[in-house]
Amino acid sequence: MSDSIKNKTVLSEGDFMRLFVKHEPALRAFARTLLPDWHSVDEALQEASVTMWEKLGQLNGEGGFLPWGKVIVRFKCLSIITSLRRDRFLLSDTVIELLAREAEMTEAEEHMIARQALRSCLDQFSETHRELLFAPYSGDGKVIRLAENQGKSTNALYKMLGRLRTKLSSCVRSQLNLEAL
Amino acid sequence: MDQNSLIQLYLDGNTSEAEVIELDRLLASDPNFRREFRFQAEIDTNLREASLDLAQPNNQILPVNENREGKVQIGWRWTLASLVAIAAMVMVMIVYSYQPKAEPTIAKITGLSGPLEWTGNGGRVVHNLTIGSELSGGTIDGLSPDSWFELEFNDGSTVMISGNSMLTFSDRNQKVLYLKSGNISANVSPQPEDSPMIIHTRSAMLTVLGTRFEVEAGLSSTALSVSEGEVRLKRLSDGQSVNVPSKHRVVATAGEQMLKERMPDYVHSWKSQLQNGPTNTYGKWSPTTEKQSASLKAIPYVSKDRALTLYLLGMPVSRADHSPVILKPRSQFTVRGRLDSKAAIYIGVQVAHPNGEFAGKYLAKSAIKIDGGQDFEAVYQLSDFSLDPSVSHMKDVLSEKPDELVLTCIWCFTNTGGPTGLGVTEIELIPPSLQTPSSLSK
Repeated sequence: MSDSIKNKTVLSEGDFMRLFVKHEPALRAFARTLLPDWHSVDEALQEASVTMWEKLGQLNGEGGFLPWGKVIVRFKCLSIITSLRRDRFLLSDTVIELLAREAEMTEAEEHMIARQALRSCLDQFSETHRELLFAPYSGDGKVIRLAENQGKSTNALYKMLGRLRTKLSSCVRSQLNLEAL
Repeated sequence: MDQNSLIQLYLDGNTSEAEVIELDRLLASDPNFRREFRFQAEIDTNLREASLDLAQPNNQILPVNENREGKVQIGWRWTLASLVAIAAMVMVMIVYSYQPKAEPTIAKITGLSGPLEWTGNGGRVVHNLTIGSELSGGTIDGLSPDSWFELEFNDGSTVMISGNSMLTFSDRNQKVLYLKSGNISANVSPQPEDSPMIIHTRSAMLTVLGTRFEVEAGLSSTALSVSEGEVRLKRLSDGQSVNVPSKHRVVATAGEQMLKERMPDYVHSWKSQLQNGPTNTYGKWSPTTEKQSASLKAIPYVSKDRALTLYLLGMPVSRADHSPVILKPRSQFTVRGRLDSKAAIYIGVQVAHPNGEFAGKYLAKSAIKIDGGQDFEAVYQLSDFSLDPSVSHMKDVLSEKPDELVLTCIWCFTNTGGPTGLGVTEIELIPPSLQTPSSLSK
């Protein structure tokens, strides 16, 4: 028996749950880089989680969970992209491959720092502005309702949303630069 | 438009084809732009997670912290959701391990034809479906234009998909369907008021208490035609709802008014509109250029037993933008396109009864082999069509000819064992009243 097999750490179901919960946001961000909409991202994560569970025996130690998970998520994403291509225009395979290769190199700590930075930046926004930043994710025409409630045109509110996102990106970028010093 | 706006537009799902091409070019050529893209995608992910946490009852965004020992605290919503999901997964696997037949069946197959793929709970993929098979929830995927599948739920409600359609269905005290693409028609038995049938498409949600209707789901729009009863349609982009009564239809497209229209009378002529894009088509679509019209090129289709490789293209006959098309006796189809090598060209049609029920598939073959290396125009008389061999098992219940039936799908193919370069720029249905002497002589 080789040393590598001798030293292989067997992970339990409990280990899997803990690791999946810990790294799920990073895996979700990775899938978001490759897929064009949230519905597809959720589908990829759901399918990947089942595969990861089934193939847990392949994983050699906790440290390899995120890169291993990204490989599985990547294959699920590519499969979804193939079916999406039937009826919509998407980024080319070459670009998807480039994005995947580069995004796979992002480490767990970098993902975690980016999440901390965003949460910290959100605290700097007023409640009204946070509500607008979150509105596109509620999926039920909330931006339009906010525009109606505030007596503004939808177009004006989307422009404001664009400005808030730019401000948020700048804040996160600054925080990450500080972190890197 | 600046480059960051282009990324945001893409992440919001609002880019045009030209903008995706531009984005692709920038991503392929500029590593810094790719870094920016990944950065924006990560912000999008984290912002969504924060928004979902805020949507929970305690309205509190919890901080994310991880110390150097790796202890992690994350938003409780994801933790809970993930634990529940994983726990459910564990339970499912245990059930699968010890009780393979524990998943209750909710429906049975009452009709099928053409290549289909069913993915059941647990990700089992099945191709050899048969009539009478009982299914638990899952996803049925029509793999070619001539695919057809009818399902009967335990309460007698029936749902049919045709062509390149993908439908996920479940029934845990409430029927929930996800039509990812393509067409379904349904005949729904009365449902409990507190748990109506729900149909999700990419752009709308339909609430059904018991009725007969058809849905066509495109990428950004949903067309609903109601034959009997009433269906409630909610447009997802703005939450606007409309009740669609019997013999009415509505098209839900973001940014456009949702108008209930009385279902128009039938028409007897039809022409493909390939220049409008490849919605639910089968084949390789090319847009109009200075030199050529938009076209659909045949791609390989391998039969279930792998004994036959056809080169096939196909398209639905949409109800979203015109009235139902009835095939009048003595009508003719004209197919225009290009062929690289000499071959006979087959044409197939799928038809339905006026109430939406499947009525058969029919096939005709060009009288002679058509020369390659040039444009062609082939004419097929409706009287030349005969029942497609794939539905020969239903010949006792199907008409011998497709006369007076509603055209739902059309496809063309060659069967030479290899590629023939078949490409079609236009298919036209011409009723007897509009045929000219010259068209008859072709």
